[in-house]
Amino acid sequence: MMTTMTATRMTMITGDDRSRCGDRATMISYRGYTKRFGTLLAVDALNLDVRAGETLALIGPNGSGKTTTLKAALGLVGATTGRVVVGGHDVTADGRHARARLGYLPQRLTFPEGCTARELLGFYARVRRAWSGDVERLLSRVALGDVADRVVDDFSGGMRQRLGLAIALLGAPDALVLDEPTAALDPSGALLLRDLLAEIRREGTTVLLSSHDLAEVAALADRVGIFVAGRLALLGPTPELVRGLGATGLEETYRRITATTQLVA
Amino acid sequence: MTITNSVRPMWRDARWAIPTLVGNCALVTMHELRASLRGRLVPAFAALFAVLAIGISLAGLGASGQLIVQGFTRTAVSLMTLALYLLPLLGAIMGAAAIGGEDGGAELLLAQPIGRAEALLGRAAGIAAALVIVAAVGFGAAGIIVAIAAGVDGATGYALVALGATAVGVVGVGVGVLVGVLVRRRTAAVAWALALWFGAAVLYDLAAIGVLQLVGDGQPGPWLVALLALNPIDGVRALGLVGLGADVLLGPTGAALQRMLGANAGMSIVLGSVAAWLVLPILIAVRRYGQRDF
Repeated sequence: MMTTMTATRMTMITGDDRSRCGDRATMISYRGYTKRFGTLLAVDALNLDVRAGETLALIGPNGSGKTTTLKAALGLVGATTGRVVVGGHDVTADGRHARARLGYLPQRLTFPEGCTARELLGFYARVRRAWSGDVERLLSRVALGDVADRVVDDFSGGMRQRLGLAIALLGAPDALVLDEPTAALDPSGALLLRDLLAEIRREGTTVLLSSHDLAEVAALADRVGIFVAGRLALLGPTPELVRGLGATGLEETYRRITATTQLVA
Repeated sequence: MTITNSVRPMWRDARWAIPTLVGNCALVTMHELRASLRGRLVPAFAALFAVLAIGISLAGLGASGQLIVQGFTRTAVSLMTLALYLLPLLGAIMGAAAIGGEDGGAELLLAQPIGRAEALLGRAAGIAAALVIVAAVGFGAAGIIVAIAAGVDGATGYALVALGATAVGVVGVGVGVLVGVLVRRRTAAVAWALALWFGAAVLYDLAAIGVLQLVGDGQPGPWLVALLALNPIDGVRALGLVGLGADVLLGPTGAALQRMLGANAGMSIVLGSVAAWLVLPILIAVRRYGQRDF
């Protein structure tokens, strides 16, 4: 009963959401995407369109399918059934071209020992066939220009994340896929990265991100998707999600949806 | 649903496909080589191997207290034993640690417009190139000392031994990479690589002797060739001994080995098996890597 109620609300909110956003082009499209890891159902029959120019944030408990969903757009995780299309390119059949449209910041970022920020950015610029001037421009954009020739082994978590963001921005991708970009950062590091993301969003780059920071999500995202146990339980703009459930804010909305769905499950 | 259109990618055009694939592979190779040389493992192994190789090239203290330098042939025999232990060990550890330990690094690379085969082949080639440098430093340092002190007689055999031992090291890289692909955690991958190396470098000989006792009365025969072909460490060691003159170095046993491998299909079989060992683990690794989730 509770599940039915949630589904009805989701449909209602998605419908409102669609009329609000119009028919903007779809940048990333999931159609019946399901992923199983052995017996574990990580993502269950996901249908989701990420529209060009929007920032869509995925939230949900650990293991609810957010990261798998993000990785599926890059072909890092395959599909058990269904498909993912990025910029018109099926990720399974034409992953190389699909990935050329995306920049990616993984949750855990590791770099080889002894490499400087400039060398790493230069390497990825060549892999992406990006303009060579991108390296200097992006180093300065993420405020790493002064430490560009230092080995990244000595970088703080925030500096590494900013370097990761610079790599993701190489070649001006149409969309960014960011997996918990501010997790494990201190407040000043998180704020700096959040400012950069807000700037990128204003420039019209599509952003698909996952986060546990509901304040960050509320500040950055045009739409929010709440994942519970591999299913997209709710999707829409934050004010409409909150209003639809009669909640006081995103936190209460999240609390209700996760509690309800987990209870029923 | 509207899907945005985009221009035809460069790599879909046949004229650009091969240069792009090779270019990507070369880019990753150079990146991996640079990272390997700047890490701790490769310089440490290079220094260790060079010191041991130079030590082996010196016969020891003479009566007058001066160091005596061995010729190329004797140095090659001694150094071959050391290199056939150390180089595959280094290769297996490097391959397993680099690929088995990857998390955010691999994701970041594979999230780029690059194929998984290019990424893995490029990385394996970079690791192999680092191992070749380690081997070149060790064999080169000892070779220079021997050439200066004892002349260049036997240098060709020494070079072939160096080449064979390096090839076995590269086999180690391939096996290590395969282990790294199959076992995702770095510590587990390195442990498996060490176990495989120990089995191939140490236990295999004991097992081979047992098999020969059981099936061939301890006499060399087709079973010996088969056992040498199955293990590239033993195969290259046997080929090296034959190349350096096994009959002179090892007496009747060496003469029998010379007969088995020196003048018939035995050598081709062992060489072919080493070539297969160079290629097969990497091919299997590339196939499995393409199917893996990250």
